[in-house]
Amino acid sequence: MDDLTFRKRIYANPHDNAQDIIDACNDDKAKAKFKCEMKQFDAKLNNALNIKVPDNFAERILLSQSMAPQRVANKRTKVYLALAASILFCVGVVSTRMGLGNSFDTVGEYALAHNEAEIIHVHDDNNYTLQQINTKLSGYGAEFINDYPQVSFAGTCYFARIKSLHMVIQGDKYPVTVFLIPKESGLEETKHFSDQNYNGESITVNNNQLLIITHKDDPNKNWSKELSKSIKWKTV
Amino acid sequence: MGNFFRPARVSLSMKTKQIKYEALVRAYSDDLYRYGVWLCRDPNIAEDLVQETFLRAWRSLESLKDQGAAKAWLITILRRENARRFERKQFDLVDIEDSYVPDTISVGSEQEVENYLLRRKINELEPEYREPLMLQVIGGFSGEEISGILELNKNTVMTRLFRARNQLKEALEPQEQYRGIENG
Repeated sequence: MDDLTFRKRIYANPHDNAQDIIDACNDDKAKAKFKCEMKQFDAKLNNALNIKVPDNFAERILLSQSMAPQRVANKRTKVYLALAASILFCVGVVSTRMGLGNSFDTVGEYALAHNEAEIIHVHDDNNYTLQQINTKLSGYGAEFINDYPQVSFAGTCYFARIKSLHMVIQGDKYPVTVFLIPKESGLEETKHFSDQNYNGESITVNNNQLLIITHKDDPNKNWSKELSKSIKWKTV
Repeated sequence: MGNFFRPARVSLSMKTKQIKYEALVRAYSDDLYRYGVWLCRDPNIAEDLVQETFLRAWRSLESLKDQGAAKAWLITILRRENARRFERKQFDLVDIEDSYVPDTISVGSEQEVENYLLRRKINELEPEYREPLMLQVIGGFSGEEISGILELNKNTVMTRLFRARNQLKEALEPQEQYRGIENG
């Protein structure tokens, strides 16, 4: 094999082990050395591409799928639960703790269940720039303006199959969970909701619902007011 | 006989679907995320893309007949989702800085410098060269598989892979030569 063809083949795939490549390496030490160097280069490349994956990433994906079919599956959910206990364990825990059935009729019930199930999977060490947060918010016609709060997590979640934004805001004592949901979630609205640990409030703006969930012991009782001031809504 | 077994088969298929899905998420979510970050150059968008990808995968899991093709199938869904992002809300997208370089897993400092340099050079590659390289290195796909995913002729794929590595090598080699002089 001529040198140019050999180099082209190895550049395209340093791990090419076709017979003609093996033969060429056996016949010519320089070619074997070149292949070895390119394999080392590829190992460096591999190393450089090894980006850190967010903590509990797979768990969060599984969770968003397990939360998604809740309303649709309704009666069959028990069967699914039994069959897929490993995936749905979070939902199971939430249901037991809240004494709920496995389906949610109101936005509030769903939000509290989602909050409790997901809060353990949310990694809170993110440093988002205002621009990054606003890119996410812009999909809902919203943006943070001055004095915006410290966001420790912002990601898409599927709220009763509707693509929504899930944010966790760093409070002084307790984190605050915020869901921004397009109105067509199909779940009944509730202005105020709570369970034994959390209080929730729903604000409707434009075609979205802003759900704010705070811990019952959080000394700051003005989160919804403060957030309403920090968010500017595009007129629709 | 057939009817007798049918109900059992229905629940079994649901169970099988869940197991299959969970296995896919566990096996491929990390690679899809890494690929997604290099594709859209924003870790937050990449996270959403992977979530969307798996949600779509769940809905059409029945169409995946060959388990061995699962990774290529997922990558294809992810690329489609990424393309939809541009169709949907072009006006909402904020330009991602061209200089964005993702962080990698922390390693020793010398290795870290080299990694940073490499990542910058990878980032500077034209997307048509970068994408097949990502599919090969992160995805572990063969030339044939890449040509299937990108819907390109295999020779084109191999030429792009050759050019991608060639450009990276050329960009890095002067640095390697000078490093000794500077340090000495």
